[in-house]
Amino acid sequence: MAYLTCQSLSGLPLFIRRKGDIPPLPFPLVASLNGVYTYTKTQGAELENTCSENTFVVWKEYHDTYMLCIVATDTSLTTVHLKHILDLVSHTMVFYLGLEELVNVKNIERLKKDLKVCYPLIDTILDGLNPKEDLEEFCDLTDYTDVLSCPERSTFEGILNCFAESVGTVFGCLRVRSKVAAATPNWWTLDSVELLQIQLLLSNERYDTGIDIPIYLPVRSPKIPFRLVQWKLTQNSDVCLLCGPTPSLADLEKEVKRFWRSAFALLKSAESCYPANIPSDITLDKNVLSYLVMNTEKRRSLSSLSPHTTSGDVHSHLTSVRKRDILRTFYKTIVGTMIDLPGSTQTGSEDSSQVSKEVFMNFEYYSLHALVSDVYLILVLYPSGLHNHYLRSITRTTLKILTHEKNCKW
Amino acid sequence: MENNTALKYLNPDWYKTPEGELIVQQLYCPNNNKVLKHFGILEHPSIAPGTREVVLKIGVLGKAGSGKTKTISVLSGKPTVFPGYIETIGIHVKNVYWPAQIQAKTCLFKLQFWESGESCSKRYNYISTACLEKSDAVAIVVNRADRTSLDYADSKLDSLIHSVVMLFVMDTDHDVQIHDQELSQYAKRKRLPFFYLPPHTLDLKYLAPFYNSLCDFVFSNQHKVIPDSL
Repeated sequence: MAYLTCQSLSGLPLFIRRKGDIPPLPFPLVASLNGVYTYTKTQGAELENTCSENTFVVWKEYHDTYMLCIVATDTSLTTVHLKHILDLVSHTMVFYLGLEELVNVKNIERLKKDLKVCYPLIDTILDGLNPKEDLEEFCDLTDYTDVLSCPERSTFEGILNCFAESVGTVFGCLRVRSKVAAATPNWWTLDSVELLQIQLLLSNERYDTGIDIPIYLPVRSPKIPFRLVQWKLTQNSDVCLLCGPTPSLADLEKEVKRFWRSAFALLKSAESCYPANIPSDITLDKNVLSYLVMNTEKRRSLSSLSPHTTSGDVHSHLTSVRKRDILRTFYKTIVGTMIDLPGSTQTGSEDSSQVSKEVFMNFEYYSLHALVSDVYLILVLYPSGLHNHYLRSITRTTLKILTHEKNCKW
Repeated sequence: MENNTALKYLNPDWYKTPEGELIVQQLYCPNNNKVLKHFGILEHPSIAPGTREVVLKIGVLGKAGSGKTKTISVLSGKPTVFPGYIETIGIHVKNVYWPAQIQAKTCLFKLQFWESGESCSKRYNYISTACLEKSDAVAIVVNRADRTSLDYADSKLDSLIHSVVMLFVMDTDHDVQIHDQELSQYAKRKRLPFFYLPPHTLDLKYLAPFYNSLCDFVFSNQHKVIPDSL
């Protein structure tokens, strides 16, 4: 359960969102949350966060213009993750409205009205605190792009590059089951937050056959809009582009058909990699109930809630949703506190020398293991009752397969 | 609460025949026959070789907040939308397939609904052009709970150069501001067909008559036949 408030630095409320079945935030309380922050500021200090027994409050200012504040009651959350949520919300505001409109406010009532377009995406971000059943991705938590590894990847990249060039853009990607299966080299030069905003927006528009939405890139182009265009190729795959004023959506449909029609069988074959999200000839240890691997250099993550598509795993008493929730909670509990991402300069813990490279957690019905190795962080969910040294050995083998196997490129 | 068009070409009960049923079944998800499938642009329901595919682009207009997104969501089988009113950004295209029999020949209609938000269209010029360009028909959404949505239709009719225009009427349970009689008189005066949105699209009983009438009307116009009832 959470409340999110946004106020201009002059103290005017811009919007309030809430997550969960909770009553609206009373106005005096909104005013107090703002007041205590502003008061601290006048004293030359900055109030970052506070907590009571079961509630966290985090404040953060953006672009010297507005302040976001989140009040959350979820003990598995840390201030690192709540700050991350505030950053995401702020990026969403820039993503839809552009920096100019947020910073040079001419009419506050107009801005309040315009900000409403951000609500669905902001709510999706807040939903990440307690995700809906059908969410399988981890991007909102990790900031990394969720990918799918399929044997057809290099063929797809070839088609995608030709297709993007022919329609005059360098930014394009092919998604299978909402995960990126191939992308143009320039797609990966977009900032993580931009890729994430695009991924979240597309997850909200999954019932459309085609979309053409003007957006701003919060880092690369906060003042000049691009067109985010997507055409659904099959029920489970789509192609997505960032374009300038041309070509039109209708012209793009023709081009999409021209380039991708011949790849229909390949797309169907790539779709069959789901839900393991890796080529079907790669098999993992049966004790791996689900995993999340993050490549911190490439800012991509590979994950699966059902890695054993055909044979099934040893302990199927855990549903996919349950496995996802366990992995998400594990991630939130350890990253930034017990373990740091490789190459990360920001550490959430007080003394970085105490940060470990490995975390084990053993519960009655399952065990968890996290391991940092090279540029990777891997999180694995196991059944209970296995020794830690055995878990370590399986995790190492799994990581090696998922990152070094010839057929498993991502 | 009857639509004001009579079928000219389509056989209204063809979808109930074994051949029709075979295609209609494919419009729904295999594991859930209450959810419409969302086809990509590279695929379509499998049909007998030689079946004609009729693609119809329908530009959807309406006053801001009149319920364009809801209308199209309902028609494409996703009845729940974001709670509360949110302005639509950009262009949203939804494809819907509907099989029908015209003059004893099976046709697969591919209806492409092109929708955009009013304010966003004003901000970005390209949006309304893209939605209306080369469209086979224009649908204006009229919400019976909001009088001004009819005023909007009225003002839009003057500026629209499109010849095939129809009204999609959203019904309401309470506070009806546009009454049946008024609506039919208006439509008659303007020579406009209107179609009531089916109350339950998950039920074929409601969905089929709607799509039959819509496909028949647009098809008739392309074949230069003006329905008698207008």
